[in-house]
Amino acid sequence: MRRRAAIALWLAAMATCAWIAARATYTADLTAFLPRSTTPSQELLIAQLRDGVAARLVLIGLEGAPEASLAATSRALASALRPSASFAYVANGASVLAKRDREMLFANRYLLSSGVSDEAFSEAGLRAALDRAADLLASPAGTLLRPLLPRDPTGEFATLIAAHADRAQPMLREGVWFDPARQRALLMAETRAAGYDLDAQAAIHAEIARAFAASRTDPDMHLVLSGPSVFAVQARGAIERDAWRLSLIAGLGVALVLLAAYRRVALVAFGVLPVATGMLAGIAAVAAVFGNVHGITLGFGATLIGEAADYSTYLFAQRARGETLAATAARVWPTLRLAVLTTGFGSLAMLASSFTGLAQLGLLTFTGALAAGLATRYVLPALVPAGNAADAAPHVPAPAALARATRLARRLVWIVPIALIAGSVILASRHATLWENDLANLTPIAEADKQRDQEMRDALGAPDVRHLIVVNGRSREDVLQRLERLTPELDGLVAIGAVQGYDSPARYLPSAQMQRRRQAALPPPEVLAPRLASAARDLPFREGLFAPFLADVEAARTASAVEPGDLAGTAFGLAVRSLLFELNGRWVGLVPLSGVADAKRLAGVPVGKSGIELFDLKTESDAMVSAYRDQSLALAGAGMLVIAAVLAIGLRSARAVAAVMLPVLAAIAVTAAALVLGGTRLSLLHLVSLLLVLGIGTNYSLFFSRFVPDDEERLRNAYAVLVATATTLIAFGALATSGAAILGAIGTTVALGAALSLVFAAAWSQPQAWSPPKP
Amino acid sequence: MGILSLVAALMLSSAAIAQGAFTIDELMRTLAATTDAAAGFTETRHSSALKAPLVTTGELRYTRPGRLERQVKTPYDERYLVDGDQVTITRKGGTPRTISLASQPALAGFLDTLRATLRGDIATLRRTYRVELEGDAASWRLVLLPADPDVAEFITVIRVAGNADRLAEMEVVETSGDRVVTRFSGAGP
Repeated sequence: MRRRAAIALWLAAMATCAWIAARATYTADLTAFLPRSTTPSQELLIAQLRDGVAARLVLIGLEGAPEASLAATSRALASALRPSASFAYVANGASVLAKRDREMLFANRYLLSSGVSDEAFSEAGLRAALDRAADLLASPAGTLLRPLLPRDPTGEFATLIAAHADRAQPMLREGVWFDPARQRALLMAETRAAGYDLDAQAAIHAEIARAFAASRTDPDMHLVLSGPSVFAVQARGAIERDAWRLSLIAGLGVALVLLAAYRRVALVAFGVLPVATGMLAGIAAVAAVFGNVHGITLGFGATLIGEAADYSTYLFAQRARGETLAATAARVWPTLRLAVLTTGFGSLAMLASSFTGLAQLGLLTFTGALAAGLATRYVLPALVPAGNAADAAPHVPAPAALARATRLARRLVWIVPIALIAGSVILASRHATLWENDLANLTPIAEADKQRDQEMRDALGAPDVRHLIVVNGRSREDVLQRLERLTPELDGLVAIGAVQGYDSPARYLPSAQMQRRRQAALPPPEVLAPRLASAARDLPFREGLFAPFLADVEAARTASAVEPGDLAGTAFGLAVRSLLFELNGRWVGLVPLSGVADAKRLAGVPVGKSGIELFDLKTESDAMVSAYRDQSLALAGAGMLVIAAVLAIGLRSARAVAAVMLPVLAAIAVTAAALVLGGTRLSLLHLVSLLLVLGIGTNYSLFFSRFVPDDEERLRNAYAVLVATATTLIAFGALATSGAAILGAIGTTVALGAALSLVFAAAWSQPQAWSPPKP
Repeated sequence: MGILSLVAALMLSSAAIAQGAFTIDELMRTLAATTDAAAGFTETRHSSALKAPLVTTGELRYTRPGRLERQVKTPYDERYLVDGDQVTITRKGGTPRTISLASQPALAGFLDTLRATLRGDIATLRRTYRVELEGDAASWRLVLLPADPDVAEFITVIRVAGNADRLAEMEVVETSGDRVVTRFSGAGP
């Protein structure tokens, strides 16, 4: 009856969890892994990582064919991509400004052009402009000037175009952008999708590849994509490929080991039940409490709950000859219960994290471990068919050798304190270079790719992803006015070569104040008409030719100021939206700097005055990574104290607590020291991996030092730990071979830590040192 | 009678084919043989914007493959030197101003038409225009119809007329209705 109740309860719980998990939203949004309470700089950093132009920019290179073919493909590719809804902007140099952009500039030229002034509209100013127009009409540029002449004789439009074309332009060959070596045609595409939306970005990269295949003019030509989103998608692809392949290999290896140990296929299959139960329960708990589940929580959570895969091993491998599984479960439970509770409560500390992602991870592990433990204790014995109890008992192979090995290991008891001290000393001596703070190094980019990205970025004059001047203000208008006052200083930085160039929203959208000043410089028609007539006297222009000009000036004089909405659908609108925005009640203007030769030479920027900040995205992200890590470290420390407290309650002996914790602490210290000596800088990935080592290593110690009445059970006990270690080594050893940095780091750390935990736990084990309380 | 007329028709058409053997490729080869040249020019802009046609005179010098100098003598003094991707403009009494054609794609397109014609570069011309040829080797006329929308925005048609390897006249019909006719004289291209 109790069996049926257990199964029914488990089924009901799983159905509920599945229902909750199915309704949860799964997010890949970076912000879930960022702190809840942030500084303004961090808010800005997050906004930039999410939606920044730099994150949305895809640099496109065409290589491996003659210049003319590359240029032809560049043109075909650009016209194939421009109409796509995926892109806000595609540029290849074929025309400095798109048609719509030019129309917008022309329509608003008297409000946007810095050429509008009292002098320009005086009789002398008009005369000079008309003289120039007459000369130009007789020059090779006349063809271009002629259509605009009646409406724009003062060349305001040309002034505007020149201001935008004046910025460092990439080299033009055959009418399109090329790199200086003329080996690579260059294009730039800005995606509408945010940079962190890797699914959308991957689809866009595929779209570009398809368009390239259709517009390629030479079979040898190949496409090169670069940019933050390209690297992120590549890294994710490598992780996914390896994760699938290695999981398959590891799963097969683990299944074979367990099959050899249990000699029954059914047991191998049932062995998955606790960990699956734990994962589902964990996801449901996170979904119920947080409303959403982050992808990274799932990844790290699956790693941490990996420990629960051992729970069924401890049950099945401990089964004595002729014993029912329920009896085994009852016998092993006091130790297993401690194993479950230490992991569960140890990770509960992470719930206190101000980083949503870590808090989710804590809850997932806590719930998952408890659910897996309960499933092992009550559901497995109820569910697994009784079979022939004698057959079901695992056969301990080579018992004599195993007994000798455990005795041998105990002679190495001194190795544990020495390892703990040596590992700690090494870590302490390297504390300055212990940690990896660079977000970029968590998913390292191949040196060749990094260099090519820099080459393309330099050739295109694309903003680097690092240096920004930030201008804060009360309103959009306030920020624009401040930006306009900053312009002379920015031009100064360019003039002395401190930066190659800069971008500014004020370049595309003058402040309303500035626009009103320009309107004031435009004379009313009754003044302008006679002034123009006397300026044009004895010039060859037909009388009345400039009537459209008079009408346009009058319209501009009385127009309302150009607003961001007027720029919609143009490259300027896009630039203004991404460089000027409201962030939590204040307005922020960004001035991305390109080609910063030496950050020290930016000293000319009046930082601190009038809401201006100099912002280095790398410094900010480094600071955030280290804050994240420091908190994780503190929480891991707190988790360790909780584990000690749980053990103290369970074992009722300080000596026993030390006996359980010393070996695993030594294993963690040596693992970390070995990684550091091998030239690795430790990151959050290593920290999570070491937390897993703490969980499984504690279990090894618990089982090694549990009270066992006879030699036979002692052997079975050692054998169970050995099987558990073997499966861990296979699973994480497979990951360690991955070329994907994230998987490799987790695999290496856990495999090494588990192996050391086994040796140290065996060495330190003092049988009969404690006897567990009766269940 | 019927057979006779058929034979006559065949003869006529084969004569036409023989005459039509003067192809664009041949013309281009002829033009490509020119390594450098100089000629006086008179350029007249006929425009509805002007009280009277605007006349400019000066001299044009060309050196293969990409150097073109346009020296204006009347009504003002100005020198346009196009070399590779750069244009240097010098007005009398002023300092030379150098602009990159990269920043002036439309101007670049226009100058490239002239340079490509002078060096017999049909590939460059065909990238921008539909090219047609009329006449024979002794007296030919090249008709350039813009295929590139950026050029078609400004230019309706360009007609270049010449005798053997010499350019005689270039007429640019603009979309505004203006016509710019340039006549070359002297020992020119």
